[in-house]
Amino acid sequence: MSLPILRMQGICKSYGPGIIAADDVSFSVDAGEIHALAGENGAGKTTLMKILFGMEKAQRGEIFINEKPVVMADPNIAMAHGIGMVHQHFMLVDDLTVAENVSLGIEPKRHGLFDREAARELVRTLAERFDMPVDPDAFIRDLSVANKQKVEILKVLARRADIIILDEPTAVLTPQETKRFFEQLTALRKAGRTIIVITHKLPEIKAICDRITIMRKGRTVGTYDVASISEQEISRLMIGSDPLPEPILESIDPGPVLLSMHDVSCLSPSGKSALRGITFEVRGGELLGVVGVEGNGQRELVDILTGRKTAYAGSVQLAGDSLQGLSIARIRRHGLSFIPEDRMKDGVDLDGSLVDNATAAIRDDRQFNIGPFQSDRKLDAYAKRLAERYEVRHESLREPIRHLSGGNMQKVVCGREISACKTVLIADQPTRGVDVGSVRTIHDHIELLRQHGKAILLISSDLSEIRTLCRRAIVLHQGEIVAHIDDLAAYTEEELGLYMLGLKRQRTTEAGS
Amino acid sequence: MTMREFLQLFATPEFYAMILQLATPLVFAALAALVSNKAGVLNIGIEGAMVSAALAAALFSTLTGSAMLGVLAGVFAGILMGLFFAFCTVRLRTNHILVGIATNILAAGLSVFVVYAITGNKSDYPGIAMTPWNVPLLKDIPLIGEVFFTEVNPLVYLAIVAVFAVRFLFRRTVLGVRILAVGKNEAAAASVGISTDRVKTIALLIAGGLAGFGGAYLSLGYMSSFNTGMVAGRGFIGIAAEAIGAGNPVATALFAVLFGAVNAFSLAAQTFPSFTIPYELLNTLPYLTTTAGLVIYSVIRYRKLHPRLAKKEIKQ
Ligand SMILES: Nc1ncnc2c1ncn2[C@@H]1O[C@H](COP(=O)(O)OP(=O)(O)OP(=O)(O)O)[C@@H](O)[C@H]1O
Ligand SMILES: [Mg+2]
Repeated sequence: MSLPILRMQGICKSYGPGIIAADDVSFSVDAGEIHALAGENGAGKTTLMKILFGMEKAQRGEIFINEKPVVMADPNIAMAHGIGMVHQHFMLVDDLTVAENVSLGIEPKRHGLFDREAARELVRTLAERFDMPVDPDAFIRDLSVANKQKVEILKVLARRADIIILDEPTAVLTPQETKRFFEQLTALRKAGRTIIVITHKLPEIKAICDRITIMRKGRTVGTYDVASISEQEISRLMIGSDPLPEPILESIDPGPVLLSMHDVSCLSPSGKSALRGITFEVRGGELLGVVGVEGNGQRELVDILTGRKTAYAGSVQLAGDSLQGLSIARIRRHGLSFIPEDRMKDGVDLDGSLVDNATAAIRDDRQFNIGPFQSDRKLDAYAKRLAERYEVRHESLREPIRHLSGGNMQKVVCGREISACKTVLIADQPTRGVDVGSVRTIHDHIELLRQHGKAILLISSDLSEIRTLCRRAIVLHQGEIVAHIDDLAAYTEEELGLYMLGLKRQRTTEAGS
Repeated sequence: MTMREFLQLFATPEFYAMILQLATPLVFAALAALVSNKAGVLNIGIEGAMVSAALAAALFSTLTGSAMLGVLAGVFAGILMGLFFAFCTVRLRTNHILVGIATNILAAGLSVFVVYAITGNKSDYPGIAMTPWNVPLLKDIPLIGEVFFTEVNPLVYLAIVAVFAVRFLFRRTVLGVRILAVGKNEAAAASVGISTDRVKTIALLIAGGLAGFGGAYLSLGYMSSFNTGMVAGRGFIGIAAEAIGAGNPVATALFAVLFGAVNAFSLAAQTFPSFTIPYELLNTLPYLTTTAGLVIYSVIRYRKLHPRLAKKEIKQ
């Protein structure tokens, strides 16, 4: 057996009285392996890796690289020891280009000046080698979440790290991209790199990891050979029980049309055609899935529905009223709820408390008032109930939400939007970064909402999520609906794949049924 | 003022020369605001840095008998004020605005004190003015030669150079890119091992130096003495120009020149005997335009962010 290239011993980390993120954690990784780090939301995975990368300081414990003790005082030291990290929440500068972001901190120089061309070239070569096409000159703010993720990965690859930490790198990648990404990871392992992956997707662990360490409530449960442990055992070790079964889709009579688009077209910010002739309807009690490779118009579709994009042709109706020209606030007052794909940017007020965030969508409701004032007690009670129902692991209702773990933040957003939904819910990657147990919970709540006669539009890069929850779906390819599917179960993943890649499309008579 | 007189005003080279003179300190101030802003710091201490620089320049010019050394002392004073600002905001993590206010009050009070301690009068201190340049040959070009190449203070040229130097800083240098990164997303910059505190401090020192040039120009170029009210809100007008210029050095400088032009106009108009508006009112013109400029700018930006009904049709 090889020596551990990395060993963390007796790590303790507390974020203040009672908030223990790591409780005597030991963790060791062998050279040249892909090591999974798994555990429920808030288990302390990110914290442990931030300590390793020098971004957080542990109160106790030691870190050994190649059996030599190292004090990780800041990321520079970690990087000097060949450690690179892809963060769960993007560490990208929105107003800089891809090339500038990737080369930040290791800028290529020519005559003492920043060599922009070399930075571009760096991105191009890496992108090609690792099959992650991104435009080096694009600004980060214009990129989709999936592309931002790619930039983050390229950033670490550019630094030639020997130990690569990936904190939920695939949470936002499509299955195809994930597959290619894994091929690259296996290639990196062959080249002698060591990789630590945090992920909630158990099949991924089975597919590429050698060993797995499972964390629970700030402690390590154990380290196992992936080959000798089943997915079910993993999830049992993670959450302490078997996950709930997936909800059973009960048929209910469809109600009136609550959400519809008729012949909607729009341009992307760069002036290219982003959506063309989109027409669909969602009735009350229906859940319509949007299938498609990310970047085929999903973003524009969501932006139009939620009032963030107002320049489009065609008509969009919410419960019979046109959305044209309505502000985001007015649209929400019309009964639309929205789970955005990027929780950090659009989903939460990072400095607001758990209560502020959980109750943001119901602040208009007089039910929470005492006379003319809002009642803290009522709002607290609402937030508390929401946190319980959605299994949000938190220390106090008053702490700023930025202290929650990524998955727990996501649960707050889901809970807020699902609970406050009056007519239509747009769920854009609702379970991104959520652990297996809580994914089921969220699915249950969405299904329940549907049974209560609400209309739901589900956008997800995870095909299996759509197949679990939806009967009907539309497939987007290059801004067009290439298929209207009325019975998803009748299609295999391969058939859907053909539509998604644009290799096949329904004839017009068939479409729009 | 008759229409003819009004038009005549715009036909004289002196008027344009005056714009150049009045715009120079504003350009320096605006660039200082720009560099601080890019590093994510709203630096309202520029005004105070200019006051200190103006005084230091006058003091040292008479002490050493050299205007050049005076300017250097002014720049040094500006950098010192930048250092003070950086120490408070970056090291001690004090609120930017509070430190800015403190810087300004400190500079205002201290300058009165120093002038009084040395001369016994509370407002003026003489300085040795810089020798203006006459550029041979070019100065003979009609109009342009008179405005740009006759009796022009070297700091005017330096202001123009500074605009492009700042542009160069952010476009071509590693430091520039790092300042941008730190200003926009400190955590991201820190995560790749950039020392964000150091980058911010450097940016604030650069800003202090630029403000220092602006201050030194006021006491040794525009005038040849220091007096306590001479900066007169130019630091703040610079901040306004930067806001309207939206972070672009050239646009920022152009807006600074525009405010300089208004200033020149308000001064020139007072020299016309037939002009009946009281000069106190005229003097408010630069500040009024600055306010108006900011309002217009916000409205435009608001419109951009919240477009009205879409009218864009797509041809298929
Ligand atoms: N800055 C902080 N201040 C206070 N508490 C924090 C802070 N960061 C994390 N925590 C707490 O530490 C615990 C562990 O969080 P961590 O982010 O490591 O979880 P995680 O395992 O990565 O979860 P997820 O799967 O949701 O990303 C959580 O309970 C969280 O609330
Ligand atoms: Mg995490």
